[in-house]
Amino acid sequence: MLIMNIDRELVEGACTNAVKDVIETMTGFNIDEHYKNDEEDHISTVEISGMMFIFGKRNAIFSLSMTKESAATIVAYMTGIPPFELEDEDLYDGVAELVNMITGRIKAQLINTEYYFDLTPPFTIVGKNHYIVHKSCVTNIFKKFIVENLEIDLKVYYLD
Amino acid sequence: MKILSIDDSSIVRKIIRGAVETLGYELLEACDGIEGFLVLEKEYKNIGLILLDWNMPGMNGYEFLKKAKANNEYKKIPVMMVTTETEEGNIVKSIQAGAENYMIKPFTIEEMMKKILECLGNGC
Repeated sequence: MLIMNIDRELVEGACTNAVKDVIETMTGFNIDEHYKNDEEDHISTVEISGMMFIFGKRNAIFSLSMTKESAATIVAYMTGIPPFELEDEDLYDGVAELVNMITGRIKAQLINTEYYFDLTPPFTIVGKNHYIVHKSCVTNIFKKFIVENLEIDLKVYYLD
Repeated sequence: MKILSIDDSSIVRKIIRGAVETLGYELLEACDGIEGFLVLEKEYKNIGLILLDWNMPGMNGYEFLKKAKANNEYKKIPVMMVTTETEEGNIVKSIQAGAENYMIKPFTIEEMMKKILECLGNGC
């Protein structure tokens, strides 16, 4: 089904599979897709956003956003290091690495499609109660996931 | 015996450290290929395995692999790629360049420990 010039079923499915695969493998947690829509009422404030530019036939910005508490829980289970022993830099690098792994899994599922892309280095935006706003007319995908009662927001914004 | 992890993610290196130390080995770390060669120069006689990321700034994993396998002292050390890179062409390229094994992220610590033991036991 084509809506807003992207194959939503294909790309959203790849995103959901990738997030579940990476989080469940790296932490052992079960993860549920909690909420999704294409409206503008989904802006939530977060503290850490891992991001990556995606370059291919279709260029996009990928982001994975969460609170510091969510990041600490996930990174603690990824590493086996207790949350109170993790430095802030560990959380930033951990979220960036999650982005790296998730986009890697998405890429693998989109091979031989027009959405296939090259990975670029991930980076992290940090700040209390920040949120990411794109123009409303931009083709986008938004998904919210729940891990151990903690929320993770995934966004993909196509640039063309 | 020591194992060298070359990865630009400090978290991945910490995860690998957990696996390596659980197995009773010592981990050496480098954040890119250039730093990897600095560690190799000093420690190559003690290193039994290199765990190598692909996508890194500076010298990436593939460049490191080609250079290491062209060196008479370093080429005997088995290399396992540990990467998000899933493109078949790149996997083949790294095997042709001399990588003995390949592990795709994400991985569990148990999977990592199993692969390390395979590599150390059978030369990958």
